[in-house]
Amino acid sequence: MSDWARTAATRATVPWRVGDLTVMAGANLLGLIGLLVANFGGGGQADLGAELPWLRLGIGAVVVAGAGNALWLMAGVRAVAIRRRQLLERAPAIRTALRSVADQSNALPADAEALVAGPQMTRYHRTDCPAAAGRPVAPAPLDGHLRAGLRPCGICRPSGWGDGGGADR
Amino acid sequence: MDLLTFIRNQWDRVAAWALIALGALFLLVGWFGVSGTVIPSEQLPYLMSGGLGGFFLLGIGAMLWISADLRDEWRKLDDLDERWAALQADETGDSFEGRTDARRISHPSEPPVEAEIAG
Repeated sequence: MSDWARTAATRATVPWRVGDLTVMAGANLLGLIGLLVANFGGGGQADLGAELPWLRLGIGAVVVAGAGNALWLMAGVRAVAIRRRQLLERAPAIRTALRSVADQSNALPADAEALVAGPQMTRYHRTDCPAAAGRPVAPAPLDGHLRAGLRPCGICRPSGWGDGGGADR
Repeated sequence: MDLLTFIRNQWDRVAAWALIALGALFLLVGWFGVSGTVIPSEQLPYLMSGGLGGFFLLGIGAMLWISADLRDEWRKLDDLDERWAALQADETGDSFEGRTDARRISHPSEPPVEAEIAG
């Protein structure tokens, strides 16, 4: 990968370089000038033969502007693709690091009661709770469960039961 | 969100639609002009101003619209990059604000952490 691509992919706030902007703006300016000249030049002619060169100029001007826009978009697409690929290359490392942070944050203190919950569950349980048996659950500290909006199970009555979180039924 | 805030945030898309609308208007005017006469030398000026001018404006409008999409994608990638850097800082013991988020999404009642990255 070129130095530019590496720099652009990590530093720039937009996927274009100043050079891309110059080419795009220059081509559009050239196109606009060509179009205006063609309009004024062709407008004053009375016969078809004299108008045709101006028409050609106008078509050329639009093509130049279109090419500038196409180059601009291609540069943007290319830069985004490079950056996406860079991120995807790092995806396994990111996944591992996220899992490590998750494990650290879910690690229970030695004296803490083991409380578990799983996807789609609205209550947390003791590890030996029959309501959690056979379900895909993972341990987390009490405050983690409470932060996630979960309430204590009414069957195993873990920590937090009777504090207003789960004794309502 | 009020209109001014929307225009400020989405200036490129607003400009794109304005240019596309203007380009369509040019094409329409050109078409009416050309259809109003049977003499080719009188039709050509409409073709140049209405037709080519319309294409020119439509081209810039389309370019702005696609550019806005590309910039949005770039920002999302930027955000992912920042989160990754924050996570690395956390791994090395530095504090970072994103840690709360990392803990929140890692709760077992929520989608797996990997889903955040993959999705």
